[in-house]
Amino acid sequence: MKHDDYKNLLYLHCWDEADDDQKGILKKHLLTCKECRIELSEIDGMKHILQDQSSIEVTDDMLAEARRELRVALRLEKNKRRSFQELLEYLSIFFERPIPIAIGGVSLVLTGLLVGYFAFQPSEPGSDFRLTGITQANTPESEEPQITNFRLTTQDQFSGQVEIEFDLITPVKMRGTADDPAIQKVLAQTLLDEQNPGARLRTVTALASQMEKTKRLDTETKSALIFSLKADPNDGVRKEALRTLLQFPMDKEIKQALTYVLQKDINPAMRIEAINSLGKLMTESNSQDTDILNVLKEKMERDNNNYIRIRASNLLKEIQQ
Amino acid sequence: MQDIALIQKAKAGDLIAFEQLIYRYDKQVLSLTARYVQSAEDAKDIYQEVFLRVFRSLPKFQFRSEFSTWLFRITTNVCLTHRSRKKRHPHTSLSDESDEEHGALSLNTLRSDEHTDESLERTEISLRVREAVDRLSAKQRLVFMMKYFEGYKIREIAVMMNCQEGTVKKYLFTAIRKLRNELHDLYEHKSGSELKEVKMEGLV
Repeated sequence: MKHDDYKNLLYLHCWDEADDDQKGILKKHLLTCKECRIELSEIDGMKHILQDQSSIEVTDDMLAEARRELRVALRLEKNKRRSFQELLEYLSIFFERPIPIAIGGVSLVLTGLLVGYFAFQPSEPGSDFRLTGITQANTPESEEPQITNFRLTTQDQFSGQVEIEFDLITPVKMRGTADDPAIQKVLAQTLLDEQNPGARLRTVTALASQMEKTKRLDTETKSALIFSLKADPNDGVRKEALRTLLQFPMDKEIKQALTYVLQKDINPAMRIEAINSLGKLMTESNSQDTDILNVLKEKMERDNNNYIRIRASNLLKEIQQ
Repeated sequence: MQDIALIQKAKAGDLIAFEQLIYRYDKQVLSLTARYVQSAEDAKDIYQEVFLRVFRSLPKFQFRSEFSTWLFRITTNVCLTHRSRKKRHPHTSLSDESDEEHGALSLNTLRSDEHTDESLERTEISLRVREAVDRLSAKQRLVFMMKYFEGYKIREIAVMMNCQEGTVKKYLFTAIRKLRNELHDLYEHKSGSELKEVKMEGLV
């Protein structure tokens, strides 16, 4: 065994990777090798120096912020459309090929005709395009579809046949009562998918106003509201989602969502709203929910907002009495 | 719900399932990246890049390995190819200036402190350690961080980095030797004669 091999064993031992056999070999070697003995103690010293070094701690706030930024990026990624550039690239490949320009021209004319056919043919409202899952009791009132994301996928240079792909966007108007499940479903989905925070805020407001009237909260809408409350990057949307949820009896899911907000929301106003609601629940029901108690203890000690620290402390006293 | 069920849903385009899935591992990812780049902003950049890559590649995920293994393999790749914000924007930003200013103020405050010597020594040691770690190559630094600070086993690191255990050992040993040489005077100074004593605890 070379001397460097013993040193490697030494490193393995220092980082808890040596097995018993290797440790035995090393021990024998150390008895006779001063250089390795010094190296062992030096590594030990180095580990002590490194242990003293502070490092960036991943706090809950940092994680929550990273998640929020990721969520926005994921939505953009999901909704990213193939750009006009792709069509240009495809066309450039098309023209680079050694084919008669005339065939290409014919293909393009045919493509244009097809696009025109689909884009401008008269359509019966609501006959071709339906939103999945929406009950037909609520017939959508459709307008003319619009073509977007046009792509020329294949073309036969000899027969002149082409295959194209495009997205057909159909504006849909729906009319119905506030408690219509179809409308609620669309609103809940908007809350999850829409990129524009203004639109999300209007959606929550719409859900809130209808729920004030109906006093009913279906599972799908509740899930969407809770998701927005926990993860929407926009403060206004989260606040409105919270306000809407608080109008309903505090069940387990809403309670968990409020605890999450108290623990992780970066906006102190949200945390204050959450602690007040949880406090009311705890004192009125004389509840001793361990999860909430733990969060209150943590907030009493560590929250950077004075009000929250004092409120958490007072609540804990009240509950313990 | 098991990872597999969430992966299947996420593959079908369910963003909520995808988020549920990654929230099981994302703290570990952020912790590793923060250790590696020593900057909260850079760590968040890497975090986002990792999960965007996961999101884009998930439809091709074939269940040939654990999801976590695949995820950490992507994480190590992104770490190794990441260029920090400072390197990308070498000019001094306003925040950098304010940081420096803040640093200078902190030093001034330290100087007026009654524990000046001790605090300055600690600051100096931290700087030296940071510089020494920064001078390691990207792979050496990553392996060292994963081993020393995150406590992964060599075989686990090898799986994450998609290489042989021997290669990981090579990076680790080189990193240890370099750090030992660079920081030699620090621990000699700190421990003095104690270092001459041989510690053989833990050896059978």
